[in-house]
Amino acid sequence: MPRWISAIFKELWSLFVDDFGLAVSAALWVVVVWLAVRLGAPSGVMGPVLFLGLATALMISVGRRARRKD
Amino acid sequence: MVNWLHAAPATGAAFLASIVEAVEALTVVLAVGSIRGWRDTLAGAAAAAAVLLVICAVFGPALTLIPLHLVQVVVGGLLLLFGLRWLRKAILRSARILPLHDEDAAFAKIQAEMVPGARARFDAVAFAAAFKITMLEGVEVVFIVIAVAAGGPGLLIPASLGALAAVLIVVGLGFIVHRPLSRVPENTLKFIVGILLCAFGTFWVGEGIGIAWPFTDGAIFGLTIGYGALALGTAAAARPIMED
Repeated sequence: MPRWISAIFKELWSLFVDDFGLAVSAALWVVVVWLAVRLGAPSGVMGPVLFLGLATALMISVGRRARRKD
Repeated sequence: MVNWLHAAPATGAAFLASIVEAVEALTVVLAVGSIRGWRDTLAGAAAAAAVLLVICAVFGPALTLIPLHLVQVVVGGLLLLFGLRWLRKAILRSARILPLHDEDAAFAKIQAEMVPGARARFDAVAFAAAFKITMLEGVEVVFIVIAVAAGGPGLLIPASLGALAAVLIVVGLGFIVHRPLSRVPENTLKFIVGILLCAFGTFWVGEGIGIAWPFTDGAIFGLTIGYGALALGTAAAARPIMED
């Protein structure tokens, strides 16, 4: 792949993903909530549930970075 | 007819986010122009702006052809990732785990990297540097505008106007003061914008996957409060961890 194309992909990737663990956790949580809605979970409750899961993923990511020693 | 009460959050988010991106682009354009000369630097920035306009003209109308819930899931999902990345960095900066962004330091660093060019007919270095930064920051602005407007067809114009106003203000101020806008509270703005982008992203993704939000659009306000409290609390909790 030409270098300029891989450079564009790298820039695009870094636009959305800084901590890979956070990005994967957020995406997985959205899928879990989507499945729950599809399986009949009360839709009105799932909004706060979606927020709480994403908030937890963000807190864990920040905590992990804070404990790193560099 | 635009319902401005409905559109205000999208306009505000696009405005604030675009101020941050425009300030960063302006710093580089000023640093490059002051060392390498203005003609090719400004030409590079203008060329990138033209490419961005073409992207908007192509992708803006195309979005209205895709079913709304699909746009909300895909664009909202990307906005959520973008917002989480932005908010995470803002929290880490607020907790002093990452250094604060300093426009004066960035300006000095780029100036040091830019060796004055010989008088050539065309200064490719100046053109490329200005094109690249305008393109990079501009793509973020375009993405933010499209993403915060993903909730409805009536939101694209108000969000675009918010972004346009921000860019015009920053470029105008840059033209007047001729140095980086280091007095703009960029780190605070990034904190606020990160919160807003996460709130919008969560809301659009939720709508796209079939969640019925309590208070419908009012949930964006609740999510903003929620992410705000979370960000402030996490930054306060992370500081002692860092000091240990």
